[in-house]
Amino acid sequence: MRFWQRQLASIVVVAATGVGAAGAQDRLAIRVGAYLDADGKRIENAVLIISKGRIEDIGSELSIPTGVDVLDRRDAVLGPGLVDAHVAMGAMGRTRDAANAAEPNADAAALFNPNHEDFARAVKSGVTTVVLAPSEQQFVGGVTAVVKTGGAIAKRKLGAGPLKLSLTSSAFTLSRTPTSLEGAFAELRSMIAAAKDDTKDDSAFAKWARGDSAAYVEINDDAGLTALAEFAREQGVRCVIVHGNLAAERLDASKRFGDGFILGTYEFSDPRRYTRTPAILAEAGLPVALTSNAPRFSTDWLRIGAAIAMRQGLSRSDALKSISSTPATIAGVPKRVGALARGMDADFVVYSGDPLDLRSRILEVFINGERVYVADEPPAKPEDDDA
Amino acid sequence: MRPLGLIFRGGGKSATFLGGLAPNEVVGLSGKVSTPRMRRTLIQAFTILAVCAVVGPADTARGQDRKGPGPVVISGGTIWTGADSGVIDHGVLVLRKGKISRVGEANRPTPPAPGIETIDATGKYVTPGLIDAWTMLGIDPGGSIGAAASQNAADALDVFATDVFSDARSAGVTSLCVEPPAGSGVVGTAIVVRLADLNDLRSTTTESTSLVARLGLGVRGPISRLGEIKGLHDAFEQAAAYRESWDDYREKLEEYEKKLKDGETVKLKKDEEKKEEKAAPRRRGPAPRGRGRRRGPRPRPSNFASMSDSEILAWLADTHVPGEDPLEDEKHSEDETPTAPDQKKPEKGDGDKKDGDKKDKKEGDELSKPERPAYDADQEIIVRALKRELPVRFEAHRPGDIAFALKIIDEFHLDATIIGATGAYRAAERVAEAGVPVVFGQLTGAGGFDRSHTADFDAQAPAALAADGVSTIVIGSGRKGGNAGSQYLTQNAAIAVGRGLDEDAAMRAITIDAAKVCGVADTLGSLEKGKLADVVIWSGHPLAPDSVVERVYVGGVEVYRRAGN
Repeated sequence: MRFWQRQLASIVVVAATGVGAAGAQDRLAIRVGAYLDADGKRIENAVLIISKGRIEDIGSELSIPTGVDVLDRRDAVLGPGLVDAHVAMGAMGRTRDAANAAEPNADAAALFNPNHEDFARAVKSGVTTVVLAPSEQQFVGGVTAVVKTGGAIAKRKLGAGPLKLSLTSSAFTLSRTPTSLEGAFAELRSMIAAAKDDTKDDSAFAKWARGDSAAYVEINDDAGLTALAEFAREQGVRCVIVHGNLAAERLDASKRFGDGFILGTYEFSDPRRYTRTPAILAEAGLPVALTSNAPRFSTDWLRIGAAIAMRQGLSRSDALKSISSTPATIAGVPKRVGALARGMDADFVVYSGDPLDLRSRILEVFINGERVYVADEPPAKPEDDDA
Repeated sequence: MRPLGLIFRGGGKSATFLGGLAPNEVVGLSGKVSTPRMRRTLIQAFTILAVCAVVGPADTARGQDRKGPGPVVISGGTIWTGADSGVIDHGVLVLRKGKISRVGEANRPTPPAPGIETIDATGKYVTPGLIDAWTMLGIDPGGSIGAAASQNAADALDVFATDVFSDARSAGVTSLCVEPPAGSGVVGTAIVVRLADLNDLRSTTTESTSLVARLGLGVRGPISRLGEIKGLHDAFEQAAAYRESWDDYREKLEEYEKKLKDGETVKLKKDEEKKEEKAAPRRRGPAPRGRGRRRGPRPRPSNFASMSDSEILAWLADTHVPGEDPLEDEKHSEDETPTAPDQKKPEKGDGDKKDGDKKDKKEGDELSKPERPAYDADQEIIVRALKRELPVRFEAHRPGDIAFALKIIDEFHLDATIIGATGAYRAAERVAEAGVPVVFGQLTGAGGFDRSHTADFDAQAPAALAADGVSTIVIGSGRKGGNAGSQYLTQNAAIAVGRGLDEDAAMRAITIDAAKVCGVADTLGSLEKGKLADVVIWSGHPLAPDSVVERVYVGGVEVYRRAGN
């Protein structure tokens, strides 16, 4: 209900002020103090022009075409809408199959409930795109789904993401096979062999088996990382490691996973051993994406996680990419979301300051050029400040 | 002359024994040395003190130096003082003998001098060592069953978890207020740990600094919220009754003794006792309960490391008990002086009831000795809170719980702080009206799960409370911090700024205001002349995302330096 109230409120605001690209023909220009480009570089005094829900142009030397509504945000800094690489929003606890551990054709999109409050929360955290992934309790969980967290419902689904596998201990129970890590590898071998034989099979699993695409593979920290590296080389398959929070301690094995790592949730109880991993992997040239693992953790942890990783040595540029363009690339939608650049979806966040600075406040969130969140006024300062 | 047990609160080096020192001899070191045994003992004592003094400076990296390390001059940086001087853009800070000896503007460049370390902090930030006012760092989080007021967080502190403490320190945190593990109700007392020498944490750990009461968090005791509320109220009410019964007893006892004194037959006897009492009023405690235990713990100084030699000697003299041998079993067990709060008291009917009692009864039949109330260690601690000797940390989250906490605070006149307070923004006016400080923990919730006690959580709470006039707002790492929370203190404070809290207030929340609620503001929390030299040098603003800690000083000793600096 709250979500719809907010939606309604923003529509009212949009109607009242005449801003927002409500209609397809509408164009909107936003003057900003600065924005962060795809490399995390700060471009001052810029203009963003939105047309049909996409970024028509963005840059510092742009002139605003006549007749276009202009939004003045010269006090603010624009960052890309954040991308969370691995969530179960609206589907927590509903993606486990009691009978079959392997469901290669299952589709996480089937569980997408755009009205779930988890998505409204994500919008508030500046997260505009998420990858819905099957549970870690499914050995072969099926296909992930890339969806937007707000905006017109018809435009929410971006498409299918990578296949998801899980080699965590919670995938192995006595009631279904496989019941062990080695059993899982054995079963995968035969599944891969069968998929390779059937050249007409264009399922996500078959594409992965042939080495055409990478799959998400969830592991327990470093357990299984080395074994998986061997298996991947033997079978010629590509993997994106999910939850390899200790991957920096197995750097040689980790370097085999050039498709990237999804790390996190980083929160305020994590030891340095975990939080230094993004910096070390990025240093080694490996793509690093962060996740909040929402709804188990609040989506706020995505941006906080980037700040935590920065304190452990992750560069500004890599920190921004880890919560925007890298997860978008891993999920197969790098041309749609994850950066503020010409032709991309107009998904962005208006901050009171530097987007990577936790002191900056999220003021507004736009998805497909539509304003989906406006922050409440911050609490007024006391009149008599004796500080 | 009797030997004297000296209990050092030091991890590992538990008990050092100084044999055969009577207080007058110890204090009057220049006085007569009459017997060979005394001489030997004095030599031992001097040797130990001398070793302390010599070992200290040679071992500066461990922060053990009693005289203080060499002077350090930090100049050119932006100094956030947390005091009246505010922010000094181009400042100089001088650390000397473990304390801050100067803070001010850097008018002229400091000339290098032999023996003085000069640090150019141009472009950097200098702040007080951060204080995490709410943490359980180094505490095993499990086991809330059986929590009681007399339990002390110090006893659950894992002093061997040096990596955990060193991570906190390298993030700029130099002091922690550590609470006892999980549980609801009155769960024990908190301590303040200063992260000086990580190999000897106990030497910089205070005694109980506050009583911890919690609401709505427990698996212990009543499961219902109402039951929990009642239990908590009862705890304070019972302690008030306990206090009254003791006050009553003392009054009657005085009367009784007065009458005894007037009676001729017992006069001599009582006078003898009186003399003994006067000689050592604090130690005339009763015999410990049970067999096999020789004595209750002595009152002990909170911090040997920070005491001067003469202070230690004075303490020795003060705690020594004439006419008592700790190695022999209790001969003169109980008497009428009420026990110190941390001393065990005998159960009624202990075998060694005094001879005097019997005589009293024989010789003054019309006089009956008042019956002493049973000693209760838990109640004693809560009584200290009722007397406002011990502040109360009251953890409550839901607005209703907070309102109830305020009610108890008001009813029992407690010197209290609200801890947690995730839902406090809904009760902000009441909190402001009550004038209690508030300590927040982790400012971002868990998400969809595990929010039973933080359902009203919102990171905007600190800003909302500040706006409503709550004057002291503190940000700690909180109960969710587990074993690593303290190292994220600046990020937690930055989140509060992101939700509207004034930046300076956020800095105060992890320094001087934190020191206030922890009861250490007279020595820590700000950069002022005379305070302890716990200082952090940052590459940029402490709350900025890419700032890193470059150096950390505790007591003027460098305890952390970033690689490459």
